Amino acid sequence: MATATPAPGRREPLSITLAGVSKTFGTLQALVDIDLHVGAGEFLALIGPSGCGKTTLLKAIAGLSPVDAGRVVVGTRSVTRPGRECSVVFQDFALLPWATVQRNVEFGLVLRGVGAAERAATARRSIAKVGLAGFEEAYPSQLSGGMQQRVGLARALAVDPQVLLMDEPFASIDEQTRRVFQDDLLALWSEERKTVVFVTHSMEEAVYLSDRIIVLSPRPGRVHQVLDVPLPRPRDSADVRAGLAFTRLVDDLWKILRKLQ
Amino acid sequence: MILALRAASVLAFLLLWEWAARVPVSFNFPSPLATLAALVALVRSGALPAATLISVQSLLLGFGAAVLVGVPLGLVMGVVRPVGRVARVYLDLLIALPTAALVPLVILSVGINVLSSAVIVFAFSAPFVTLNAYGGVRDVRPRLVEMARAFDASRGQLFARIVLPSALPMIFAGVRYGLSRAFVGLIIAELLLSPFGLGRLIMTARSMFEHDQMFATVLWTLLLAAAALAGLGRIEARLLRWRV
Repeated sequence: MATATPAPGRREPLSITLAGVSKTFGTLQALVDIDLHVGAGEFLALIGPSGCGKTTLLKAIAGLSPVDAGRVVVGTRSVTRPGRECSVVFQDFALLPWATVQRNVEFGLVLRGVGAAERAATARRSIAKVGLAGFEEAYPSQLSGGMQQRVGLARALAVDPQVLLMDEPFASIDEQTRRVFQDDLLALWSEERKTVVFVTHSMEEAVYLSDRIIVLSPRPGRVHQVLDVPLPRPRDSADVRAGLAFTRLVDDLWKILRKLQ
Repeated sequence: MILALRAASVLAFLLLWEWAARVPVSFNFPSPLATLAALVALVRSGALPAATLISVQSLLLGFGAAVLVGVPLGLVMGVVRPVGRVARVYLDLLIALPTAALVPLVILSVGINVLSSAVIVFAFSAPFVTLNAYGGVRDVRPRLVEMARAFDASRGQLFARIVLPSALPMIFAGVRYGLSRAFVGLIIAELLLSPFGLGRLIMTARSMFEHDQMFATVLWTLLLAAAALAGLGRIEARLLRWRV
């Protein structure tokens, strides 16, 4: 990951506020009365048993799935539809199979009407940032899962979002690749200063990456507990993971989650 | 490997044909060599090229219209769900219908000319082209639509950047199948009604017991269809390069 000088006019991260957010699908109460504040530039992890509404909550912030009650505010905008503040990284990558890496990363810029030359340059920078320089002309089907998700991340970063929403981005990536990717993500985050909301079902991942962990309870989804992660940064993989504080936090998290199963 | 297998299959077919002619399966059954000689003679006399020119006109007219109408119609059916639900019924009926049954109706309403053959070609190919374009839209991965929406894509952008490219492989499959059907429709139309074209040539040869000429014309039609399909396959391979 090359350290690039920040591009001019980089946008400042935004805070996110959810107040009394509820969401129902038919008769299923997915989210009930969620109050949540994510500080600008914070790295927040969302964790909970499957079916607890983590992804629903993320989609509500992205404006992809409007809420039934309550308010979602990103920065100063009350979210009712997708906007330009947020980028989403999907668990299944959601890459265009017919487009090269370069064209995939340009996708958001194309939709925003950025000119061809600027678009190409921005995308190339973004591809280099995630460590995929040299793969611009490859098609997604020619890449491993980990590399495909790097494309997904590059695409999300190319539009210079103020909030990065990640929906179990590493869930379908093997363990070794995932650890490297986690470190790379942290390095990028410390350079780029984005507000990150990161959905995961891995306790280690939540502790390793985030400043704060929100534990959701299932059916209906509520904020069950909030856990601070006071581990120092930067978090070097070997030291932090082996440390007592890390192990203790993962254990605390497990104790909370076990009761929720 | 595949090339060798292909060559072997062609050779086997020719041998079988030669054997069938020598047995003979029927007194009228021409050998491959006699058929080839007749083919050369038909090309030399100008009868085959003239008939081909007329048939190709009907084919291009009917098949071209099938693509130009079928693809947009299928896309609209896919995007506007109520239209799809209604039109789908008619398409299913059209596909179930033995299309040749339409020939008398076409003769009555259009008369006997190049256009009537074209109408029948259209009737044979259009339902498949349409149905595949429709299916292509229905098969778009919802996740890709969601991804584009997350980037705040407009409806037009969604269609042009996600729906259309997603549907393209199936549209192409429909067009390819439609082309095979167009050839079937063409020959049926010409056998049944037209006083010209390749079908006419087949009928004339048959009525004069020139079975080598009849076979030669059939073989020629087959080659024509194979060439057209191969050409389409090339365009498809170029447009869908990412599918390798």
